[in-house]
Amino acid sequence: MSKPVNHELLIKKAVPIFWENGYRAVSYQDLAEGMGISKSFLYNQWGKEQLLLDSIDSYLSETIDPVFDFIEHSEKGVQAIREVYHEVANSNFQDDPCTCMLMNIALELKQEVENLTPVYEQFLKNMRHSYSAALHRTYKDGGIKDRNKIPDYVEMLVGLMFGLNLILHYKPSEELIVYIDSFFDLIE
Amino acid sequence: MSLSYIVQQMRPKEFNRNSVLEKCIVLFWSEGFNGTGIQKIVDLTNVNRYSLYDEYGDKEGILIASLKLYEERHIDWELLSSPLSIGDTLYQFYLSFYNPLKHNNHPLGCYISSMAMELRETDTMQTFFNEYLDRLKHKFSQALNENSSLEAKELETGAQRLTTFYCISMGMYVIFSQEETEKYLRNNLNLIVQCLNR
Repeated sequence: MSKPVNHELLIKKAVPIFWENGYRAVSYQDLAEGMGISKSFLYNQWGKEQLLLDSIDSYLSETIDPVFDFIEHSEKGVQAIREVYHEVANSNFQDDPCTCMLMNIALELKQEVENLTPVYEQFLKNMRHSYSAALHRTYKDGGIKDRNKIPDYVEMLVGLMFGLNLILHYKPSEELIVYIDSFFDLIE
Repeated sequence: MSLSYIVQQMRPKEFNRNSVLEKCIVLFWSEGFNGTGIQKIVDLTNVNRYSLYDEYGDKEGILIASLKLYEERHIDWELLSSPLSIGDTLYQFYLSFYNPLKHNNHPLGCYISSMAMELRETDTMQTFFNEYLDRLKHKFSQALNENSSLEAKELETGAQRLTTFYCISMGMYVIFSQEETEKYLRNNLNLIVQCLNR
């Protein structure tokens, strides 16, 4: 089966559909309409699960990788991570689905979709890698006293993002910023 | 029309309310609220839909009743008033959500948080989850009051931090193994407790 030239463009159109609605609530009809293709083309070309995996791929390289890249290479070290977290807390998710698409999908599907597991394991690996680089920079700049604590801080911040993904929908931005800062204040 | 059918129609409330809700908890939790049709509930509980509607109004009514039952029955609040140190007390409490042997058929984590994630856009869940987080914060504040020497202002911050940490922890099982989850809980609680005692 040969892939059409606009394959990638079509996937890009599917991303916001899964992002906003999750996996189960989305029908073939919704996807076909949103992507401007016929349902039969969708069945033949992808199937819902494969389309989800491709959409996550596209989401990661377009939206997430640049953020990890920024964190890894920023001069600001851990402050760069804080900036990203503040930005997430401040974004207006009424207009924009700002929580992480992959985390939402992972929470929804848990271990049901087997092929998803290596995807979020890689995602977490990249996240930890970039956080660790930022924290080591802060250590070199004297902002962290005990180097051995860095792995614990990394885990804490990974978990914080996971938690943010949930409480973001329930608490106002100002309150979230206080929460976030209280966690960053634990790093010393 | 069979006699038993007529009798069932006439006596709509004659079913064990809690056992129906227990089954709904497992169903909503593992298959999602949106993934569960009323027919599935009827099939699993053997209660006809009219009786269900009569008792709970609609599917959302069943959800709320099941969330309340879960909070009442399956959250080990007593663990928070243990004589252990504050760190160990909290660790035992969080860990109780990750004990697969504890409650038959329950997935790992917290039912209320799982529903809060799935139904984040709904008013019902907005109200319920926010109230739940307030109750939780109150419990944490009590635990800190009993097991630590914090002042009133620090109690508030500490309880707030623990409430956020609760939200964080309840999603952990998705990405971490049981072993990693335990390590994660331990490390983070240590950080938080160190900070509380400072």
